[in-house]
Amino acid sequence: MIKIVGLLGKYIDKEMNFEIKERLKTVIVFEKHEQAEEFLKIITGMERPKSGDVYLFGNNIKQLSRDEMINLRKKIGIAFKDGGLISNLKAWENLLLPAVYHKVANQEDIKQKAKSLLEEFEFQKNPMITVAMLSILEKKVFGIIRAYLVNPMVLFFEYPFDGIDFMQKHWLAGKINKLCEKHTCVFILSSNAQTDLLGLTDGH
Amino acid sequence: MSPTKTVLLRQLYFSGIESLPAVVVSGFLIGFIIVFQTIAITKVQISSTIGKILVWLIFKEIGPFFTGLIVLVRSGSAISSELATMKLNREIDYLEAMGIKPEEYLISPRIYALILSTVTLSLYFQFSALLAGFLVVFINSASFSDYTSAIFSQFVFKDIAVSLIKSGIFGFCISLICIWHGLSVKKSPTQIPQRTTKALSHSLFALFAIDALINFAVSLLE
Repeated sequence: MIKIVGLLGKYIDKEMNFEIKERLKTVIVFEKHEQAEEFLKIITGMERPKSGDVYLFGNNIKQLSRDEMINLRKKIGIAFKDGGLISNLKAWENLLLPAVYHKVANQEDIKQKAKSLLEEFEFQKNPMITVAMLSILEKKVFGIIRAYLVNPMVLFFEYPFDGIDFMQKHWLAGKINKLCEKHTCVFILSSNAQTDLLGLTDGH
Repeated sequence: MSPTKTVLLRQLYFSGIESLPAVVVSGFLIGFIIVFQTIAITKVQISSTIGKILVWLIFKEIGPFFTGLIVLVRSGSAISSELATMKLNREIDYLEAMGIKPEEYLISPRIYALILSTVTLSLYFQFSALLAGFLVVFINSASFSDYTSAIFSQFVFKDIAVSLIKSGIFGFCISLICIWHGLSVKKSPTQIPQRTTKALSHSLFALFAIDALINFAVSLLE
């Protein structure tokens, strides 16, 4: 699905070689947050690696034009560490933005799916609030639902457990595990210890 | 409705509709002052002369320029600081990572909205100024018919076209300069006010320069 060969970047100083396989959970642990940020930018074709190749769904991203790359980005869902929400949109509008923009389904269906996911994540507030009114955990939840709504082939979680307390980590891990049962998920974590939260012992 | 259309409509609402009171009041006051001062200085009570001066000043110069100024101060600064904040918060990166083209979602709607708003607001400004002229003529008991016929005789399609084109170009330049400055911030939040100030001063300079250029080009054509 995604193959990384000899990848080095501005911050990624240790060569990366691995393959993300379909319907498996993959864990990547970086030493610094900058490395994760750079990795996500390289994966999405927003930055060129110093050396090495990235094969995204069989395509070497070095050989893709910007439009082709944007088309491939539709197949990747990224749940950013702080949610990655757009501040001048309401929380609800943030949820729907990529799915409606890419027309992954008709708007009513997207809205219905978003509502049921909010219920699944036990979100009680009115979703028409501003992003600033959401807690860190709620921002992460909105970021996860937004990424999931585009029906991605692979779902990336950037530091999903950073910035939240112990109880929240366990609660969120349970929800994420459920979401990833039938999907390809990649977790970028700050320490190996966090793999336990996901019930993983063989993450690579 | 597509998210891009939503951004366009929101920008139109903010730049066009919410600016309307400021534009109408300014247009009315400026029209009132111009006519009042013209009568006071020239001691002319002839409505036709007042009408000519008003149409010439408002349509050819003050209307598009003043509207551009209001749009710049109100919307230009908002666009610049909004985009700068988005850039610093990585929000532009988030959009790109989601496969949303920033030029399609953020930039184009703002440019179109500012062009449309500036052209439309310029018409409102000019209309308000002409109405103020009517009021002054009424206060001074001058001839209404002379004033009206002077205004209508001065209306030349070319002048109106130049006035609207000028407004459109002002809107385009303001949006482009403010967007560019907004997206030029690098890492520090202190750059937001700096970039906004630069956006305003550069746009203001552009308004003067474009106004002079268009006037020069039109005079060559004449």
